[in-house]
Amino acid sequence: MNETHGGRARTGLGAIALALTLGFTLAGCTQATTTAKPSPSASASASPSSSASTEAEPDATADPESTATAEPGEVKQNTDKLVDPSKAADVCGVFGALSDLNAQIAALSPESAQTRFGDLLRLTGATFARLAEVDDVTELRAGWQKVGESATKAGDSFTVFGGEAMNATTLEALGQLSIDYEEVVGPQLENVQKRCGVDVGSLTPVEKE
Amino acid sequence: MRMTKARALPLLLISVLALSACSADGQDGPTPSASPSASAPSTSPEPSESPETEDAKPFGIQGDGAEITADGTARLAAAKESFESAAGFTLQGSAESSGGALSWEMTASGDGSDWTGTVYLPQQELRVRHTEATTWVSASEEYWTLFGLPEELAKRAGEPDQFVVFPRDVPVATVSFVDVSTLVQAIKMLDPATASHTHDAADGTVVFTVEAADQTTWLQTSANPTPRLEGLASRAAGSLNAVVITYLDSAPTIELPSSDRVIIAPKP
Repeated sequence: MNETHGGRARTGLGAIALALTLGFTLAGCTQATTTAKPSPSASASASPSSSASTEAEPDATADPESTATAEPGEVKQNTDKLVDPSKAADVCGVFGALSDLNAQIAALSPESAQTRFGDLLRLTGATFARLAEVDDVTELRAGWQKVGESATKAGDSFTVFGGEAMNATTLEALGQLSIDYEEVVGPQLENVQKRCGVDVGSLTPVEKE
Repeated sequence: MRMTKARALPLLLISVLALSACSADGQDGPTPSASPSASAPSTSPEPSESPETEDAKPFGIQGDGAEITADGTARLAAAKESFESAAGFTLQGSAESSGGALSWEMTASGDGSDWTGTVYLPQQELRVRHTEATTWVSASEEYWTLFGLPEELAKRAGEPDQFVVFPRDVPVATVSFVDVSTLVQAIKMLDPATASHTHDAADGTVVFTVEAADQTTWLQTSANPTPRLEGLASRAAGSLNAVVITYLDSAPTIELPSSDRVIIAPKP
């Protein structure tokens, strides 16, 4: 995980997966007061494809209550629905919804973001699985699938450990997700920009040495 | 969350063992003696009589035994060292008190950080897994209701193969009913010099006695040339608890529950 969080500037890489995993995880794990701070550009990145995704699936939302299988049963929190990019009909719809989701995350309180970290990981998993289904560039599908599986695995681990990331199993899964994300999504930033008009890289906070 | 009988019983098991093991500090050191010991052969940790009978001793031993010698202390120290260096164990335990009885069997890593097994309560079984400071327990709806979970949550938790997870930030007291880590650490903290008497069993095992103000602990070492700690028993506050230790070549692999079969325990 250090490989992807620290080190060289990472202005070009990023998006939801990193925002969800690294940002929230590290904030939650270290009890830092500055939880994930999606970049200002996140909310400003509503590209044309964002609206495209809305058109494609205007009600593409995920009910966290239905996906949060490990939430304390009697405690109902955060009933606000999150945008679910996996409900989008096509690749650009997915990336557009990612932009919307990122903006939504940016608006969450640190506490809410941490509480819903498992949901966010599952959404990430479902989103990339959806990309693997709908991308007509078939050679990209395996990569999307790989990221989706990594995110799902990390989300499952987070859930199994009771909503805790501070354990080796979950941290390892998150680290693998980061690696897979960087490997798969990083080379596709320009491609996504061209195809969908979404600056995926802008969705992630800029990290500098 | 209220403390209920279902949870109090196993909690007693571990806490008594832990307290007994840790509170022997005030005992005198070894007292050399050449007197022969009187003992009865037994490898069972089960109490031979009711725990309510204060004179009843585990491992089939009788009488006070002989005062410990320097050789005895060395044997106990070697057995403890063997325990400390083990890769893993199977621990078979039993506990009896006026509140009831239970038994349990756990496979644990040598450092006590990981374990998995079953606690057998009257008409109840708890399947327990523990790793990375996180504990998962599978039990019936009845158990979870007694435990104090809200009705709806208890119903869900009691479904087959459903686990309630106690994350690391849940206070230890809440999950100490299966705290094998504490037991293992307590054994490791035992000071062999606090043992006062020994019983030589006919089968070659030696049982050491550690007496404290309000509790007595017995440690059974093997007949092997290299002594191993094979049993532990403790009596305190009217309860008698015993554990049989079997050594493993490796630590157990803890299988995590499926993510869709986990319910987070509400924080107390």
